[in-house]
Amino acid sequence: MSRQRKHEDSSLISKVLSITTIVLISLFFIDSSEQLISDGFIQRFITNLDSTWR
Amino acid sequence: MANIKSNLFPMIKVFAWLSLAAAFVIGHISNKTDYNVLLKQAFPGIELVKSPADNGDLFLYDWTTPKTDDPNWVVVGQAQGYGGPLVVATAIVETDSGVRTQYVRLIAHKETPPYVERLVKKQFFRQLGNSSVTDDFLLTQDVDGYSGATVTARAVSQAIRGSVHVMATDKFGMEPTWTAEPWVFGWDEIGMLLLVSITLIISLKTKHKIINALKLILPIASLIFVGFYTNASLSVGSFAGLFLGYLPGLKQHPIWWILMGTIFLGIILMGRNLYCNKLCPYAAVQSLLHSITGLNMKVPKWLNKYGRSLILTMIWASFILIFLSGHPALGTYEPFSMMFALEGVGLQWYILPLSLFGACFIPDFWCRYFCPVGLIINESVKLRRKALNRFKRQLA
Repeated sequence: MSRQRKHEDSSLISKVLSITTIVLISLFFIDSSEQLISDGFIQRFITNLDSTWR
Repeated sequence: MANIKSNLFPMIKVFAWLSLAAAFVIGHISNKTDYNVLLKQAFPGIELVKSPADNGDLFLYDWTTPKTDDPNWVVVGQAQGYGGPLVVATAIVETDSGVRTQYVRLIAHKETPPYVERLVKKQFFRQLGNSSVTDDFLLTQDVDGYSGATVTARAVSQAIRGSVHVMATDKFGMEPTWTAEPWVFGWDEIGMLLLVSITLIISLKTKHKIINALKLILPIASLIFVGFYTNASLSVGSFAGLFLGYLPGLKQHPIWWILMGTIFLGIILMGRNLYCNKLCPYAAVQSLLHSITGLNMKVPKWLNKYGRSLILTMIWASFILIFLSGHPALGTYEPFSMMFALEGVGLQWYILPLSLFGACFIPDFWCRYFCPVGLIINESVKLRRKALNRFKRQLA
């Protein structure tokens, strides 16, 4: 019984670790995307595209 | 259900490749370097007009209506930093003692922000002011470098050096009296060559006492040298940067070329991954932690099943962000800078302890389930094998 419990705990720890890491990496990408937009990326793109067409 | 899956995967693949191509083009348009815009942001309220001396090699701007203590010109130079190209504007003044730099401004860069902040704090830029335009501007010679940001410091010096020397010859007709750009080759480069040689020897698969000993030594040596000493570990940004043409100069940054060259040599000529578990310092950290605890927990089934797809998705997201921004640091989620140089931004600080903690319970936790570099190299090896097999079949 105790051995089974130990195995379940192990799975739980690895589950928590895996999911938390995936969530943090996803948050990193969301944060980077926000940074990209706040850096004026869209504005720069429109301006440069406009000047290219002209 | 199986039919939907078999139709869905090729569509996802096509979408991934098309979106990467679109991000590359959009980023290319968006990130065009316009010196006029950059100078307006760096010198607000000052009207800088392109000098008649401005040509394809010299980017020189006249400082209109200079008052006392104002510079006469601003010259712009560019060089490859660690993350990509950086642009430096140097204010130039003509005095009784000759043509001199007045101050220097880094007006655009793609470096990891903490490295630039470190240079600003150490007053690196201040030392570059009040120098003659004929000075050498060589790091560790007439410019002081700072450990931990050497590549950025060297790139800034190179950008100034290149621009002010062109100005000295083209505008003022001065004779070049400065020292020619030397090769950066010292103990660091010799150390990297030694590590690479050990890696190649080990890869020969010969069973010998010495080789077994080298197998034990190599991870520790990589951890100390590639990780903590040179902080040269590779990230997803290093590979995405290649597509953007961010290649550091061979003369200024040979360590990068030795490391990257070895990896590509391994893929193309040997069909092997020479980086993971050999030259990668973070793999050594993971192994070390796992050997300390000795724990070997099972990972969830879904992680084993979808692990590869998960890393591929993360690589895709990284590449999209890097292509759009032209800024490798923006898509680099690996915690290597934090681990080896104690430099990082935002959420990366939380990813580091988690990946270390994970390695205590699950062997190679980061390497197996989250590392983009390992997958990129392994997939390249697979691709090379496939291409070779196809070629052999065609010959037969």
